Amino acid sequence: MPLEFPISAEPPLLDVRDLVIRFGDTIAVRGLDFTIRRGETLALVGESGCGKSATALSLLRLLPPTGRIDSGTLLFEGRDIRELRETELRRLRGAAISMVFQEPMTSLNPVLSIGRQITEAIREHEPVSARAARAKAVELLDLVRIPNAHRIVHEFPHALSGGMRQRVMIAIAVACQPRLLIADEPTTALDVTIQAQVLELLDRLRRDLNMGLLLITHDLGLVADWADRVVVMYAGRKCEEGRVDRLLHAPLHPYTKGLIACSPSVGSDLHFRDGRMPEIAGNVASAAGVAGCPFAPRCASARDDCWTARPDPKPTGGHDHLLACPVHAPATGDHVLTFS
Amino acid sequence: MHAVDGVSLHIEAGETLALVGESGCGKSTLGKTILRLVPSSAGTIRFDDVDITGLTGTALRPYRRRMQMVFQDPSASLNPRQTIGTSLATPLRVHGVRDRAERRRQVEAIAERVGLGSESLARYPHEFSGGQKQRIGIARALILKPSLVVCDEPVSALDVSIQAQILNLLADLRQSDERLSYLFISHDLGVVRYIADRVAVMYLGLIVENASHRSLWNRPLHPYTRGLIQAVPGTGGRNRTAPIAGDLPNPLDPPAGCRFHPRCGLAQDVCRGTVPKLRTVLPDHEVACHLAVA
Repeated sequence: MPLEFPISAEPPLLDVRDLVIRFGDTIAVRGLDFTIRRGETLALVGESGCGKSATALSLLRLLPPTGRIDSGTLLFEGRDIRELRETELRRLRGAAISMVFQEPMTSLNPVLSIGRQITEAIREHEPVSARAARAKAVELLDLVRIPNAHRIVHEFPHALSGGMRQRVMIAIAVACQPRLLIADEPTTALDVTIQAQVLELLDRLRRDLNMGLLLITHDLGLVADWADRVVVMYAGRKCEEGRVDRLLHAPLHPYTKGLIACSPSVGSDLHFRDGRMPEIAGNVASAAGVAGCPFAPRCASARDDCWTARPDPKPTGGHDHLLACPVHAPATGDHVLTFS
Repeated sequence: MHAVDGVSLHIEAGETLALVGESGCGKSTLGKTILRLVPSSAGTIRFDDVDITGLTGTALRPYRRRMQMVFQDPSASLNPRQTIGTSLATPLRVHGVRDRAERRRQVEAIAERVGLGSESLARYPHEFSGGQKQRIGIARALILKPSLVVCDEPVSALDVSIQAQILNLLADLRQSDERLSYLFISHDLGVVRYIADRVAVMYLGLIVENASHRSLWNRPLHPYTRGLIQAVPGTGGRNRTAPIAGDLPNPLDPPAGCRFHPRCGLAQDVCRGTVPKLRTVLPDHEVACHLAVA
C-alpha cells in the first residue's frame, strides 16, 4: 500500500541528516539524509562500497572499532541516537529498534537452543518470568510460521535450514515489538523461493506491528516488490530517492538507469544471441579520489564539472523525488516546491 | 543418499544448457560428476561419444583438458601466493606445454580475451576485485581451449553491474568459438534466461523439466518451474505472496511418488503414489509431471 503524500503532522520515526561515516582514512558514507515513517518500507539500495550496511550499523551504533560516525544527526522518535548513553542504547537495541542480518548462521549462537535465544532476547527487555518468556517464544515461532514450534524451541540452529534460521532471527527481532526494523540483506544467502517467503513475512509483520522497515539490499527486484520508497546509493552518496513505482519506471540518475538496465529480469526477452545485456563499464574502485561525482568515471554523460563539483540531492518537482545529478535534472526551474 | 538420482541430459557442441534449482537439489554435484571431480555410482557420462565414466589417471587426462570449470567464489579457487601469470600458466604446464615463452604467449592472449591487461599478470589475487577475479577464473578455464565449461553459479557472488559484464563476457566468448559449450548452473532465472539455449530444472536430484529457453519461459509446464519463475523478485509486481511454501525436503528421505507433491498446490492421488517420468509434451519440451498437458 503506497504511502500517502503530502506529509502528515507526525514527525518521522527515523530522521537521518547529513550522516558521515568514516573507516580509517576512507569516508564510507558522505552526507546522507533520509526518513522513515511507521508502517512504511524504505529500501536502501546499492552495490558493494555504497555504504548501505555501514549506515544500518551506525543506526544502532554497532560500527566496528575501525568505523566512526564523523557527523550528522540520527533522530529516532525525536531523540538523537548519537547522544544516547550506553545504557539507553542497550534498552533501544532489540526493543525499539531491531535488526536482522544477512547470515543467520553467524548471528545465532550455535550452542544455545532456539528457545533459549528467543527467551534471552525477551527477558533482556521485559520483566517476565522464564515460563512466560518460553510461552512467548513458542508464540513468536508460530508468528513467523515455523511449523512444530513446540519442538523447534528445543532445537539448535544447525538443525534448521537457512530459511528457518532467518525466520528465527526475525522472531528474535520482533520479540519486543520494535517500532523500527532494519533488515540488512536479509535474503541474499537464500534461494529465491525462500526469499519470497521471508520478505512476505517481514511485510506482514510491518503491517501488523505498524513498524517502519528499513530494507537494505542490492536487489532491485526486491525493492520493486516490497518497498514503498527507495534511496539509491553509490560510493557513499545518495544519487536518487523517491517512491518506488515512480523511480523504477522513470529513473533520472545515470547510475539508477544503469542498475535497472543491467538487472537481468525473468520478464525480459533478452537472450545473448540477440544482443548484449546492458552493462555499466568499470567498477566502484574508480570513485576513489574523485572530488566531484563519484560516478563520473563510469558515466556516459559526465561533463567537466561532474569531476569537480559535488552533486547534492535536489528536489525534481516530482513528489518526494530527489536527484543528485545536474546533468539530468528535469527543467522545472523555480516551480519546485520544497517540503521539509 | 542419491544427490543425483537418475539424471539424463545432453549438451550439443556450441550450446549453453542451464541447470536450475534450489540449493540442495543436486545441481552442483551433477556438474562436478560430469567433470569427474566427484565419482558417480551408476550411469554413464559420454563425452564426444566416448564413455568416460570409468576412466582414471592418464586415460582421463586428455578429456580433463577439454572439460573445465568456473567456480562461484573466484577467491577460493585462486592460490593467494601465486601471481595471476603463474596461476594461468599452470594448466598449460600440466598439459605438456613445455616452452616457457609459448606459455607466456598463451597466458597473455587469454588475459586479453577476458579483458585483463598484461600488467595484471604480475599481480596477486588480493589486488583484484570480485569481478576481475572471476575474469581470471574464466581465463583459467579457457586457456586449455576446452569444449565444455561447467559454470557453477559464476555470477552469484558479484554486484549486479559486474554480473552483467561477466555474463556478456561469457556470451562473447561463446559466440567467438562455435564448438564451446557451457553447462551453466544457477538458481537465478533472470541470468539463466539471458544466457541459456536450453534449460533443465532440477528438484531433489531429478530433472523435472527440460526445454529450449523460449519454450520454458513461454510455457512453463511443471508447477515447480512456474513457482520458481513467480518467486523471482521484480516479476510479480506488488504480488506479495510467496508462490511456493515450505522448504526442500530432506534428501535422505524424499517424499514418495512425485518428490514435489508436498509443496504442490495441484497434487492429486497419482502424484502421491507414482513417480512421474519425463515425457515430451511439446516440441523440444519434456516434463515430469502427471498433470502437465500441452
